[in-house]
Amino acid sequence: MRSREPDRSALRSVTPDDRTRNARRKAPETDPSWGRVDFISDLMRLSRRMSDEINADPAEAAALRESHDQVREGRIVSQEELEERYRRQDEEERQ
Amino acid sequence: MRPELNLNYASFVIEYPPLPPLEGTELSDLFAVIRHTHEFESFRSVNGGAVLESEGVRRVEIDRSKLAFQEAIEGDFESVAESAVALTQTVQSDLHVWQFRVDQVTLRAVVGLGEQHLSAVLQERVLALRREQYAALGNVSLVALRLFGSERGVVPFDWQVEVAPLVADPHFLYLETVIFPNALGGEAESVQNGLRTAYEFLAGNVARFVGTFLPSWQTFEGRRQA
Repeated sequence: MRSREPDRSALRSVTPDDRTRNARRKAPETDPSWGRVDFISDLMRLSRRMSDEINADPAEAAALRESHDQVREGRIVSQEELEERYRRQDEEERQ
Repeated sequence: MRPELNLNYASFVIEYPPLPPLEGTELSDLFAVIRHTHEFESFRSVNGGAVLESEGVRRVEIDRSKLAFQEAIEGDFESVAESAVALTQTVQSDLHVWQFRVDQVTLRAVVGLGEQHLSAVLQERVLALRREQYAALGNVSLVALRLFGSERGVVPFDWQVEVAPLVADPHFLYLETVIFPNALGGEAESVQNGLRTAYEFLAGNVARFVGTFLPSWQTFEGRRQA
């Protein structure tokens, strides 16, 4: 299964303007190695990119659609069930 | 140009008549030329243009009709200005830009003035608003000023100035000046002129204005004149 680690390259880079603008930071306690990133917009961007990546892979896109259908139709009702399903998929892939 | 204020940011935008679509390796060739004289960590093509960047330090966006430069100043302003002019010259000659307009120049400075909470100073000495009037907004944590105007001298320009407590630490004064020159230019020196004009406005007019209501500014002025 695809790694769910965030891909830092997907994050908007911190510009000189970001560093020096006199504005309230949304996450002033942000890990300094990440710079003063705008968390909300960066996470939106990251999620769009992950979604693009998933959709670019037909098998994974089909699996994601199937999961969404199952959730929508009430076939999967709990987070635990979803996690169990992912765990099983990971095991199958390892074998 | 003899900078006295410690600037921490400079940017400018120049606009030119749209060039033919930039094709093939034009932009990557330009990057190859620029990197002989200017250091950038990365180069990427974006929507028919390019972004050259050293994260958090310098960023240049180039497209068919615009060049936008921004730098967080870590050394002296004069070197940044010279480097910006050289970069403009390179882009101008490589992409055959024969005429352009300096659209805007922005400079920012942060000044430490001691123990005064600058929001309180602005609130008490500058704005004729009573404390209870702020209540309509809810909890106001900082007060700042933004002013707009026009200079009608030999070199006319419109300007926008922000005088504010630094949000991260309101004991520091944040000054931002943006000028909008109204002249066409064809020489990269007009970028330098724009930077110089913005600096002189910030270090002259804006500094004098701040001195009228901020006593600790006089001490700072004395130190920087010494």
